[in-house]
Amino acid sequence: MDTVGPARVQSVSGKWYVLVIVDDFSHSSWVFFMEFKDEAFGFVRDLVLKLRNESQRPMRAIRSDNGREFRNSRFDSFCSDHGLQHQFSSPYTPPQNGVVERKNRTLVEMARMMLDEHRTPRRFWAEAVNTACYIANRIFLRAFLKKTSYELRFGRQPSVKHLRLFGCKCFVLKKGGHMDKFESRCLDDVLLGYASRSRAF
Amino acid sequence: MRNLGFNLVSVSQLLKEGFEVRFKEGACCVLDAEETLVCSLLPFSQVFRVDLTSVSGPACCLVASPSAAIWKWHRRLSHLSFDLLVRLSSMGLIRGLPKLKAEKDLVCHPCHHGKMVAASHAPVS
Repeated sequence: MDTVGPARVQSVSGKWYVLVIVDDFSHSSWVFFMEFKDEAFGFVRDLVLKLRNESQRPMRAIRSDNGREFRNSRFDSFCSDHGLQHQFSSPYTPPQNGVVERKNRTLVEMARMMLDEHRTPRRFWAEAVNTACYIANRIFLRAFLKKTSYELRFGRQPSVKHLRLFGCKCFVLKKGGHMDKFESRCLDDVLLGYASRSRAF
Repeated sequence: MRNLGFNLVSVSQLLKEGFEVRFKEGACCVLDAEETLVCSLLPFSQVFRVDLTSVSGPACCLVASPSAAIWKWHRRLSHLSFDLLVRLSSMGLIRGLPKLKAEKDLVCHPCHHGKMVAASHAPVS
């Protein structure tokens, strides 16, 4: 895991940093957005607990650089409570944390291209990075296993039928009981990603 | 015509639809009723070739070449490289991705803007 940032522009939800976490086996990734770096611990804790329920194989170790957001007493006590080994790269040696650093570059490049395509304002970078992560989990292959990281994690093939262009115009259906009979039925909007916990855009 | 690899655009059809076509030495352009540029044509041996990089607005639907599918998926999958895209579609590892054929010389502008890096100089011998 690693943090990216601070970004030059604050995102619309007020975030400056990205916390990128990569699973070393399947290379599936998670991104979390933070206003301050010390929020990293909460995200890591939630993810570790969630993944323990998801997979039968226990998680053994987490690996990070020596950033103060990772090397602190809260992480130490959490790791000892859950039997996790916390591995650190040598100081000022990012190549030892290479898997996640390369993922950072991939995600940032994808986000940059998506923002560039429709000249979406910069402050939507967080949405772009999130969408990039969503897509990256579905399409990138684990080279020697010849499988996508989604398939390695969930055991079934990912679907891309529902994907649309990031930043394209979309029409949001207005719902609710208080609609005028002659009111227009949708709002014009811009597509900024996919919902992670529901079947929506 | 046999072995014709291109679509031909009929000027008389364009005129019939209300467009205006202006020819000049070395250049040609198609204008609509409000005199805004729809697309420009570049001379190409004995004929004119539509310059699709200058196409704007609703005329974009002119770009109905066989490579439209590969472009669509390239852009939807956040500018995935064309090589990996073709490989993925041939391996059949993803549901919903159609079979795509590899094509040469595809240039994507956002890809260039997003990923260009400085190249090192070739060593001087």
